[in-house]
Amino acid sequence: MLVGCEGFLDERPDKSIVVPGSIDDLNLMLDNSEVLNFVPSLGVFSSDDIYFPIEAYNSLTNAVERNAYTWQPEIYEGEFPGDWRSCYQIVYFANVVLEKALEFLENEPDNAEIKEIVASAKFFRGLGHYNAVSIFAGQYDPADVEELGIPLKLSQNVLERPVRSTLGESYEQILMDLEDAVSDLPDFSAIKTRPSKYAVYGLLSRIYHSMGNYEMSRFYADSVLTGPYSLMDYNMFNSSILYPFERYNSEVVFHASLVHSATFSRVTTLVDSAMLNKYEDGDLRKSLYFIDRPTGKSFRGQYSGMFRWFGGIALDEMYLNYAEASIRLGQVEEGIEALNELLDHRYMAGTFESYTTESIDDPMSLVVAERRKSLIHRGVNWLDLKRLNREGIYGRVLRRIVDGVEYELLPDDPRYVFPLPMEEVILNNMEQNPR
Amino acid sequence: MKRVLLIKILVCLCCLTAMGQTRSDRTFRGTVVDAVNGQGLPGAVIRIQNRDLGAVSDEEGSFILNLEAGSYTLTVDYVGFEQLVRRVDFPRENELVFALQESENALQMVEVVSTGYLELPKERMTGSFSYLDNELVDRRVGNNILDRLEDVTPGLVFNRTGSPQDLLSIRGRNTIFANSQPLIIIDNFPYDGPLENINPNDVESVTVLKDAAAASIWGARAGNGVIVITTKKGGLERPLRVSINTNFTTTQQDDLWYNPIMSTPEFLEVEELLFGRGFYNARESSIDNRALTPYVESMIRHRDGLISDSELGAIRSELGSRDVRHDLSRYYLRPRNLYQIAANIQGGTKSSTYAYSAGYDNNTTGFTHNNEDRITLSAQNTWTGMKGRLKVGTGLYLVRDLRTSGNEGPSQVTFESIDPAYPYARLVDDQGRPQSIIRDYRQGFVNGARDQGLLDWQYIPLEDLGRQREHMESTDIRVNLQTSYNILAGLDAEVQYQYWQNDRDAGTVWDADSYFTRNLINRYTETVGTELVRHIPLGAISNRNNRFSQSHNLRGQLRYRKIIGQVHDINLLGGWEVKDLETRGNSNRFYGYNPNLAMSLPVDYVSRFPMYNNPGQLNTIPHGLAHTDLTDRFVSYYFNGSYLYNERYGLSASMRKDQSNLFGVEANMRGVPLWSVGGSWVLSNEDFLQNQKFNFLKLRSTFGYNGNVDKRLTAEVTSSSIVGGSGTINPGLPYSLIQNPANPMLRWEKTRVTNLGLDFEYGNGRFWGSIDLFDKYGEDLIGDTEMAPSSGVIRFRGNTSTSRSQGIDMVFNTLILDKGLKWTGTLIGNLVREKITGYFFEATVNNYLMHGSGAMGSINAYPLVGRPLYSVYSLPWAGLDPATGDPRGYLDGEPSNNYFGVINNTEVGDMIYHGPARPPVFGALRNDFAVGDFSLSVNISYRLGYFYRRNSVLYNEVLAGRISHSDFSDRWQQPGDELITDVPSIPSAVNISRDNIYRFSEILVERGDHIRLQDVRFSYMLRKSKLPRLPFERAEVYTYANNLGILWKASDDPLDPDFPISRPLRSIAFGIRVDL
Repeated sequence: MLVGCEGFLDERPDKSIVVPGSIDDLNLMLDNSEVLNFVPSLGVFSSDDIYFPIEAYNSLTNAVERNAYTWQPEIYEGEFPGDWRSCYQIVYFANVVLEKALEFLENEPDNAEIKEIVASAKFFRGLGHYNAVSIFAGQYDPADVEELGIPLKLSQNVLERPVRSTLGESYEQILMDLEDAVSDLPDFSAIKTRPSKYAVYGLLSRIYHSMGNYEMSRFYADSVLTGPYSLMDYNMFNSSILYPFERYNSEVVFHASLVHSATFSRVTTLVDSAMLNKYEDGDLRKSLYFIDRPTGKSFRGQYSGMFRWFGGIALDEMYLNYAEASIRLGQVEEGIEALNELLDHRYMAGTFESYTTESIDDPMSLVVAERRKSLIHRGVNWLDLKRLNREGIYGRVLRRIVDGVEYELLPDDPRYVFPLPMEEVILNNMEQNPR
Repeated sequence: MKRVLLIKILVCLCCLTAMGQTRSDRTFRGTVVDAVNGQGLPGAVIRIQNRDLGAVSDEEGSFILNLEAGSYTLTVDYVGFEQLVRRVDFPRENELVFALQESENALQMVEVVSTGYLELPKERMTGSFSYLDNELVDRRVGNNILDRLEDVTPGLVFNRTGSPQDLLSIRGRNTIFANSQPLIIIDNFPYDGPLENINPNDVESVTVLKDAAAASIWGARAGNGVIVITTKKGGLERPLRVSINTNFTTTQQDDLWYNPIMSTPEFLEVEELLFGRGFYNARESSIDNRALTPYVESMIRHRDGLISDSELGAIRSELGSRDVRHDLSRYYLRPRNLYQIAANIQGGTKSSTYAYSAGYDNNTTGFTHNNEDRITLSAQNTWTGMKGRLKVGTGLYLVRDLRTSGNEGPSQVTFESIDPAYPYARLVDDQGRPQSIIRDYRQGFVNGARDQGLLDWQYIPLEDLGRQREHMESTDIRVNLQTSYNILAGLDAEVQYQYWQNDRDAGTVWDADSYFTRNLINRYTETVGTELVRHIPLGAISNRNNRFSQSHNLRGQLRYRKIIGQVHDINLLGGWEVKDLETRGNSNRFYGYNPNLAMSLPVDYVSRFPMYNNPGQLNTIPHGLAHTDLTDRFVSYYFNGSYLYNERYGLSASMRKDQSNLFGVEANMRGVPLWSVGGSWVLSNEDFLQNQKFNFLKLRSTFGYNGNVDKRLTAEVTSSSIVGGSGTINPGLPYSLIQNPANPMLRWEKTRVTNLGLDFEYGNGRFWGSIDLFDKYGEDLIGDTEMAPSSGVIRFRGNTSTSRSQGIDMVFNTLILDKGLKWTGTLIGNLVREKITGYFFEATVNNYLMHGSGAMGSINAYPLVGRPLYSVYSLPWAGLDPATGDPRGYLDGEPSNNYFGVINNTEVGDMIYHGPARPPVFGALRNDFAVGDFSLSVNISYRLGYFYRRNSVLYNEVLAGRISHSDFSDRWQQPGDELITDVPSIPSAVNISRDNIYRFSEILVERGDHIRLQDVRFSYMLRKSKLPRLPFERAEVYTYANNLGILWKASDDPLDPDFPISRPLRSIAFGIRVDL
């Protein structure tokens, strides 16, 4: 009846809402660093990175944090499972972008921009799934890949209910997504929330390291060390500034934040004095990482230039991965050399004396200790705890005394695996982790 | 006067009967007139008894019949008039005049209902309507048209719980998440503007369309019912009539003591307790200089040895005697006064009509410094030409609304930006001068900042009043053009067009000396070296928000009406319409704004600056830039037909297909055909009822579908973009969010409605009314489902639910007395039983407890299969622990204070279901008394069968140093108290689960049933006929009192069950309506 009727009804009801239909639309989604650039923070609350005096503990309003701190079997108390949610939101965004981009690719199979989008989406899907497996599944063990893994979500269809895969399958999928992503990503990205080749190498190094696959960890760490990044000389920084390190500084390979909590910025969120005592005189990490508070010292040395705690990939972690992997693989000298280079940038000028194979008898203990000191409050300590606990010698018993009650977490404790949120158990019939 | 001319339809009738007639000996001519004024009555039906012959009078009231010579009995019927039966001999010389008497009693017979497409007498309808005539519309006083429907419209209820957007429901709620509000039609077209723009003085009548047959002509937007508002029109051959209505309403001041809260001494006690527990230590040493209340500061000074025990005691007793509500009440609140005047002029010549109106409303709101003004103007004309074949009508409406405010109310006096001010705050000193209170920062910091050269950082609430100046100006224009052309006998072609636009300019100016401005400038002040750098320039701050909306509606339709052989009455209507509604808007913020020079200054919106009060915190300057660009388009086709046989048996059918751009992308989702059929049987026209006392008895039934849309949903993934804000890692970088997950199965909501109705009048106007039974099935309702987060979302919205509601609405009128005193009683009764019959997933027990009743104003509903959408659930209560005063629930059948365990182990089926949160039974009883020129109308309303949750003390508020409910003073304090109280003891630490066990327990659930004296109207009519000296024809002097109080309620809770937060305010109005 009305000619041109179709065009009339094709007008979008709200200009601010689009059905993503262009490369730009997808890139805008990939730039959502408020969803995509996160790593879990539960491990920090359960690790010995953090310390709450009793008043601070009592004023924690978030039950999940309070319960994670004292390693309660059940942690959620009906509150929002922020970490789990973050992992699968990353996966969801990645899947939405990936499916659209693959559609585009059918028409333009050689479009490099679209291929980059596909690669970025795979990178983030890998990141999201790794975030989940690192917190909600047990330590990877090549001898026991049939252990419970995580649900792998590989489509954007929200109504499709995933089931828990095995630990082996989980890691396989994560590694496949990341290794797929490498070739189509740019070498370097100035906006470091966007993935690059080096970001993939860095993440792969972290993952392989946590799996105990030191050959691959060393290989990828080495790849990053050849990249356009450089260690910062901590002598150049001013500890009187609240956040001495800038966002996207020369060590940052890929930016991600720990899933944010208001607790991070509270003056009563401290670091245990036993931990602080591990930093020697002349170690600039002590003054740059920590700030004086009325009741102790708090961490503030994040590589984000702001209140968010950094959990992304940085060069110092790559040095440490390379060092540890080298030592484990018998290339002790190379390992110590990498460690020396890192520490030389961490100590007050002229105070650091390089280690040699002769001067130290247990290079493993040294590198493990330096990992703790450098990578505090990035979520890496939790990965190390899980990994090292398996080896007996480097594992440790975590202890807290809260309000006169002593809590203890033994190296083989099932509470190293966090429980799934109730919603997954109720709505998706997922098997709960024993705790 | 309830005389409504059915011009549009009847003109065709006249033509029909006039067609092909030639003057001859067999022509019998007559005229039907109003016995009172002698005016012709067009459209009267003339029948000859026992013959298959009849006629309908034309525009002048004349008719022609072809008769053989003989003697006949003629009956003449006209809506609203008594039937005339007369013996006539033929042939005869002169024309006969049939003078009809206006009917006094048969009130429902004159109801001409409008569906927005058709105006028809109610007797021809098969569907379910509620009709409010002018008298009922004018019964209430006020400036809002919708309020006038309350308690006088069967089937319609105003919701007291739920979000403010969910104002009213017609026959229960028919949707979960889509728009729940009825479609509002004004003068044949959906109204897109704000309802505040309708001046009730311009309204002639309101029709509420309730079932499928009534509403399906409106198709996809009729699922919630349709309210059709008809404005006042002139009438043909009416003398000039001028009517002026003016009134004044005063509403009592809001009562800050209505909601019971802890006393000031109790609050001090809590602050002492928290201080002892070290609660304030973190804040005291916090780097962001967060505020501490004066008493906490005093305790700090006392602890530090700066003041003695007795000084602290003196401070405590001084503070304990204060109550900030006195000052808030005195300086922020006042009674609300509404003044209204409206003039109407209407009349008509033989071929044209006119109606003009002008109205002015002034509302000084319940907050000081605020004012609202509204001017409404309208002009409506119709012309008839080409021997009555062409009709042209125009309408022009203009509304100008201006609101200004300088007072956001008592809630603007905050402490720590979210909480109400501490209860011992004083807004004035002993001399009555405004004084400062603590708001965002510690006093020491505020003083120190002043010494550093920052702007004065003190917050003096009373000086700030009027320094935050909001204004909203809107101009609303509506232009109508309606033409109708009579093509053939019975066939009319019509084109209707409406243009509407609304210009809205709103904004806020925070003066340079307002706290808001000073605070923001100070926060963004940075000390660089020894210099202060202000990143926000000095001067006022202004927000500006413009919105322009416009719509075009165009409709083309054909109407056909034919009576074949006196007994077959056919009425057809078919058409097409198109609509385009567009809204564009922009928001801006200006810094360094100087209204006198009309200039503002640029700022850096991208960089992050340290906050002066917390240099570790970096923020970008808030910009307030936003854009809106919305388009709503519809293309619709519709058909409506009815057939009436022998004035007894009726059939009706209607169909509509709507297509819209709402779902954006999926073409197959755009259109939905909706239809209805109905039948009716006028029993009172049957011979077997002729000798009974039924003046009117009609049975009717309909079946069909109405629809509803949710324009926020889409079939494909959608995203929207924003710019990275202050707290993001990439400020200034745009990124997008996913708005909706893909939902290829998305469909329109449908409601299947069956209606069975009975209209009756018995005993010559002693008893009349109607009863309707309905049964509605909601299909493909848009529902939320809770999703496990691994899906990527935690909530999914789709066509996941079904619902069913059944009910009865009825209205009974009786003329109780008619001897000097005329006493009429009207009982409106409604019963609605609603339940969700299908829902995709079950939510958690916590969600049902917290949001199940909808009372928290949450936008998310949590339906449970087998229960009404809004239901009150609770946990079984096991009493207080006699040793500790802890609240207890049941875990494995035993009383337990393992709160998490209790909630976690309670299955959905273990919750106590009390009942619906909205009344399933409601209505009103109205008694109208008239003695001579005095009349009195009293309306008593009732709402029964529902539940609500009473508020009580929440320890997570108390232990955060905030004020809570007055039940605090009844708390358990020592063993034995559990025998006299159910209020738990203070816990040692915040424990939300513990609060929840009590807060959601069965003991706090109350019955909402109550009966309320809603309003009383009293009036006296002065008439020139009795007082010849009066300078006017007649005048009605009236007074109206509203919200008079509760007569009975089921619960002991002192609060009004429908008003848990603030008191329902009483109002009284005085007015006079003069007809010149």
